Amino acid sequence: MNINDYRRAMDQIVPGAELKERIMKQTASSRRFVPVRRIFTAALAAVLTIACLFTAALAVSPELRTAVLSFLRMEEREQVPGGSLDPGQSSPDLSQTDIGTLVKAQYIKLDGYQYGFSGGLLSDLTWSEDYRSLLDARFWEAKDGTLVPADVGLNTEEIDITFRGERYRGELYWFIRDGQLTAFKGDPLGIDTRPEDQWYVNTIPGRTDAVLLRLYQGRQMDYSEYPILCHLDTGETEDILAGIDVESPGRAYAYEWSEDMRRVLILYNPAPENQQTWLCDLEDKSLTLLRDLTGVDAEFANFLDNNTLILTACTANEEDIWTDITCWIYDIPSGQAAKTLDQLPYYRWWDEVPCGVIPYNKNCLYVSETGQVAVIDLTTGARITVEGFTYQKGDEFMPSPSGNKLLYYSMDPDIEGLGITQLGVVDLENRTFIAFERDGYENLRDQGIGWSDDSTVSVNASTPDGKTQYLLLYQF
Amino acid sequence: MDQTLSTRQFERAYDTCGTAVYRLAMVYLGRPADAEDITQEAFVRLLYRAPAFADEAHEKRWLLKVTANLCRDQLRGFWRRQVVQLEETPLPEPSQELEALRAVMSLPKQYKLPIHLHYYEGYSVSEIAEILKLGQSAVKMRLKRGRELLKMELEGTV
Repeated sequence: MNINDYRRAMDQIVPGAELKERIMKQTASSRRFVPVRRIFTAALAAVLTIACLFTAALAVSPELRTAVLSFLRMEEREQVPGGSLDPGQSSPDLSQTDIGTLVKAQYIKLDGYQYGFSGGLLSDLTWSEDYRSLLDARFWEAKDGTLVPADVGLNTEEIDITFRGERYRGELYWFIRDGQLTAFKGDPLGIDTRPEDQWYVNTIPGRTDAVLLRLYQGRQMDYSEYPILCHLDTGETEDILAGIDVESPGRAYAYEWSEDMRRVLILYNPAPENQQTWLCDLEDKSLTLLRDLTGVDAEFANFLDNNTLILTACTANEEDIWTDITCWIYDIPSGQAAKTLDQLPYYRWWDEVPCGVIPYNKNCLYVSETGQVAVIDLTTGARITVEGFTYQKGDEFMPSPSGNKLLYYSMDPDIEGLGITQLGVVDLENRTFIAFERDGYENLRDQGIGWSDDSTVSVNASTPDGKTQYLLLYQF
Repeated sequence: MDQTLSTRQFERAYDTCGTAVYRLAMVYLGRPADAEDITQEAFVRLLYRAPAFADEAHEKRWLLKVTANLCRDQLRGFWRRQVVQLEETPLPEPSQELEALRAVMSLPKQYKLPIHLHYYEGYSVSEIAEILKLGQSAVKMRLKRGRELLKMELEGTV
């Protein structure tokens, strides 16, 4: 079976002739027009609204007017490595280099796809054919320029839970290193997934004694999940929401926990017209519709900290594309909400002259029509102008786990893979933004980019023939 | 800027793009009746809200973009069960082709649309990004993950 079979099959799927007839009849019906005057009036109103909002935002505080963050494009360029593992060369193979004085790069050559990197450890996990059971696990850490095998003391926990008539089973693997818990499970490929595999594992910030298991059922609009706490020392499981009637609004499909896990935002009904977010307080065992609690009709809510929420509302046009965005900060103990962003246009990169805001957790970028960029703190509305940087199509940003940094990268759309041409980091606390250009990026096929931790950026890549994998690590 | 379409222009648009619109809706929704409704609605949008197109390719991308949006709205309807029901579809022969069709249509929707648009319609990453309103990196990721999930040989690809 190959893709040509799909093409031949799809060639046979054609609409019936009566569909054309049905559609052509529509040309005879009355047409709707949008009067030009109305378009101009709406456009003028939008421009005036934006102008007023910007004036108001700048008037908040005098120091905000002068808050700047300077962009530094490094003179030094990265020489991207390439080439396959030599015959006899061991895997993994580490080399490292400095890019100027600001960035340290480590390049790890690998002989397969199975390697991973997390918590400063390189892992090589060998799974059974169905990806359910771990057959072998090896770990390394970088020391003095070489990779040294690391003994992590891997533990296994058998999971066997029956919930809502479904039995969830499998093996959970975990270890604690440098005070950090790492936990994972096998991951059968989508089409091989069985009902018993339908659970995820999440670690809990600050805790090494327990993990959160997310048991799920259904797909797409029927998807629902439920959290269960699993104590690693005893293997016992606990219904963390026991005593709270969390199913009174329906079945939940997503949960967002406060860091102390005393509160959780629960999302019900994936259909947008019926979607609801409720705030559950585990201490007083209450469940409150967020809209009733805050007085804000927000589409999205996130915890800024244990007592504070960021609420976001977006206006969509007829094509269901966001056109503008409004944010509030909500203090749970006092019940006070404050608007920090007011109907700024949403950035749509496919527009001819894109301009607007791009939200990233507790910050957003505002990109002007000329590509000038400002960082807006959604908790205060404060703006920091980025000097010396022009945003261009193909530029992307990605928040770090803490949300205090943004990864910046730019891609070449004309080559296979991500084609990362530039790489950099915006440090929002220290107000720095540095980036370097990558020479020879076409030597490798970039397959993924992201944060490994708050100071390490990783790029997964392979040689064009796919025989050698690369893990590229950058510390800014 | 909005403009109106003549009947002839409208018919040409259907003859040129109608099948592609219908196929995309089929990939997304899996049922001929739903795909027909979506195709009709997409052309209603073309009729009443026809923007100025640079060329036919631009017009087709616009129609596919509207189709993807309409399909997404359709799937959001709580009344609709999210099951790909190939049984109601005229099934191709022989079985390898049917298997290939099932394999792609059984993919999660975030993967099957990029796979269909790339490997069947022949669109580039940047064009798929425009149609599906995604970043190019997201399209590339979805193509990669879709390929992994498919377990299908993709030789002879565009």
